[in-house]
Amino acid sequence: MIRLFHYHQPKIGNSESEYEDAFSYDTEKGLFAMADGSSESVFSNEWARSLVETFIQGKYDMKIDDMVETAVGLWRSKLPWDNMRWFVRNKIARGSMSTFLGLEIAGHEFRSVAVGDTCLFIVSSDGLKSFPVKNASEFGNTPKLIWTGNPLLRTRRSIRWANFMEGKISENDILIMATDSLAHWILKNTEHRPWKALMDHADDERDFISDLINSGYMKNDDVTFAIISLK
Amino acid sequence: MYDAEISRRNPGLFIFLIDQSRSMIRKMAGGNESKAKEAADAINRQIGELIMRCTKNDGVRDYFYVGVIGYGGEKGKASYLLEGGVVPVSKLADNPIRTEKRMMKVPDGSGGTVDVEYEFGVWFEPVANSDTPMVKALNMAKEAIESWINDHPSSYPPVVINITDGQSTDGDPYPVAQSIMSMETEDGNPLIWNCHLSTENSAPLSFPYSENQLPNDMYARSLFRMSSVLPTKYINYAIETFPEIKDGSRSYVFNAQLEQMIEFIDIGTRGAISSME
Repeated sequence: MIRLFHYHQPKIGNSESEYEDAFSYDTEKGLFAMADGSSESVFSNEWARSLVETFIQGKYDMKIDDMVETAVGLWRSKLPWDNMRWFVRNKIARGSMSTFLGLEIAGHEFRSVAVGDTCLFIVSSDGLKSFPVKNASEFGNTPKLIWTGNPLLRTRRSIRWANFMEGKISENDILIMATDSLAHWILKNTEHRPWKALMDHADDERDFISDLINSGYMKNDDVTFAIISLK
Repeated sequence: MYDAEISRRNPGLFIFLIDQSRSMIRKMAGGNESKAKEAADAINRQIGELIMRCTKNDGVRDYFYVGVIGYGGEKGKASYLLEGGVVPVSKLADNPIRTEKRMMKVPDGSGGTVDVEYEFGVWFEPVANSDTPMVKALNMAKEAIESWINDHPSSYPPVVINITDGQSTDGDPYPVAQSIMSMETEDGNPLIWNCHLSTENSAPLSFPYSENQLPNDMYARSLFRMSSVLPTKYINYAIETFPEIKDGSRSYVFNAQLEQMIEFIDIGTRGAISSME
């Protein structure tokens, strides 16, 4: 049986409506998806949500080009085209951008696809593996992103920069999905088993994470994570 | 220095000064229109770009305030061209005097670009009428910046971009420019960028580092002295296009044609834009 604990909070100072990450899952199908919409583009929260919702439909078998094409249609249908202000329409012409991390668990095997710096950590008796970012120093301000393309042009594009991983997990392993600020903190603190602190603070996660941000241990950003195990 | 984060709580300020003297009616080198029209277009485009940067799903967030001061539209006078003087970008987004359909290049996703139609906002019209009271314009900018720093002591330093084709007709602008450049926020001194427009096809000179690079012309040298020494981050932006730039280069372009003016405004605004949270 798959067990899941997940949590999110917007950047400190922002409201829930300004939160631009997204997480979706279907434990029956063993599908999990997380995305981090770029704050530089408009409606990137809808783009992140469209990506994760499309992935967990489970129709794409890691074929990310097809998955993104469907997600673009979903995103476009969510845009408030009626009464759109002239400057919003101008900005939409540049499209939306988001990272993406998809995870599929089937039995004791998993597969994952990632674009950008939303990370998957596999904690096992062998230690911690991270995907696709390997080192804390790789986090920066310009992650690879999936772009909607221009919604007025509707051109089909192929996704570059996708990373794929597969492996086996046992009942004693833990999988963690996390957007960049928390993923960075996890990678900097692996020897302290930071996922344990996240689970221990399930009841007061907001205070725990806000303290990390306010003390300068973590960048002030939207935070989203999911901890998955087979127990 | 020049690394304060620009946020709604700690916004940034741009002040554009635009010469409206009679000679601005003459055609701009490298362009199809008058200097007045090309300069107004460039500033209107930049205001549109600032609005674009600040546009989120829920509207336009006030990361920036903008003032545009025209000088010489009436003899001896300088005045704010945007209603309300120095105004937040959300107000500008709500109140263009009109929008025009134009084409812009956007990436096509395959490494190329395609033209798509967009709405070009217009907040003020080109004027080419009288003299060049640059000192008056700089004094208005100085007042606005004093008040700004008083209200926003930790903000990214205000950026003044002055576009002119001639010599000040109301005295030496250097002292007031100097007094603006010696003010400070906790993040540094305000920057003054001077763009001198060329009518003829004379060779442009962007970001000179020494007065000796300029012709022996009082006016060109005065504009050099009243331009800020470029902070390192701006040198880094400019070096790709201007490999000869170095420490000590000034935020000044002499004899700018259309292309140099647009590059100059782009580099002059990029530092603050890149500091948005």
